[in-house]
Amino acid sequence: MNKFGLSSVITEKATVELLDIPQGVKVTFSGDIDVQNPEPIFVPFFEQIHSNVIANGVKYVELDFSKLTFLNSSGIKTLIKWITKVTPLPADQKYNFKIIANSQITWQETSLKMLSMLAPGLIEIQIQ
Amino acid sequence: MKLFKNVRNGFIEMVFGPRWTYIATVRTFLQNFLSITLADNKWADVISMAASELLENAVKYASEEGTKISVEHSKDEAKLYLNVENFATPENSKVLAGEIEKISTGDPQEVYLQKMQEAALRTDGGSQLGLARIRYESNAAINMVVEGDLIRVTVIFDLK
Repeated sequence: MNKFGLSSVITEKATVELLDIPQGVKVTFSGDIDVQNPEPIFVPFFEQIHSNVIANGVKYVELDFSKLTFLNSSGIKTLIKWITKVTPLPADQKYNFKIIANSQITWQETSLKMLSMLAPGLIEIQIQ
Repeated sequence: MKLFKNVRNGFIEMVFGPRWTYIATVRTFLQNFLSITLADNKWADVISMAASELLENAVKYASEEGTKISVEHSKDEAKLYLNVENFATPENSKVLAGEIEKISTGDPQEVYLQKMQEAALRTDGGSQLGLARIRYESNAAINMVVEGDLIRVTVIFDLK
């Protein structure tokens, strides 16, 4: 469990879990996200995290994709929707993302790098 | 499906009903097939991702049962041809042709970034990101042929 009391999202092939870390919170993605319409599954979870992060003054969110083997473009869209919620926030509510990518999973370096371009200055990417 | 002689290039063809649950299986099979056919596993990953995105479009927008996917590796040209065929309404064919034209003109990264910004505002459940993602991640050429209600999308990967 985590400080926001949010349960993990578990689908047939993927798990997305929120964890507390000293700097803020960490979201871990594992498995394959390839459902036809991931929005009703993941967007409410991301919105809850976003609201709690702002309400609690958290300034750091780590997105760890190192165990996510596949992400379809509809899944990418759910992340875009989250990230683009942060850019228009006033400075005192803005928070930073760090994306952890796995260099052994080909799509991650290219696709996740593009996410960082959506919010320049707010997203750091670490490829390991 | 025709059986033919004197096949020079690595080749595979699959026909299946447009069911979402088959896509992951086809993607995994292609990834394995391409890992054997191509020396570079990264290309196998990229091409199987592209196949998956095209098949998702085919299943979402097909007007009738039946989707065909084929892959041909031309060693002489150092190119790989990925074809996906499905039936579509004239309206969907027109939309797809417009999308292919849009994403094929301009810098792949800039086009993809623009499509991502547009996707953030979409509320219809679609992302319209798949083709731009394919082009950005592979720098492949994408074209489309329409014959009646049958459309064939071809992605040409330059493996050099």
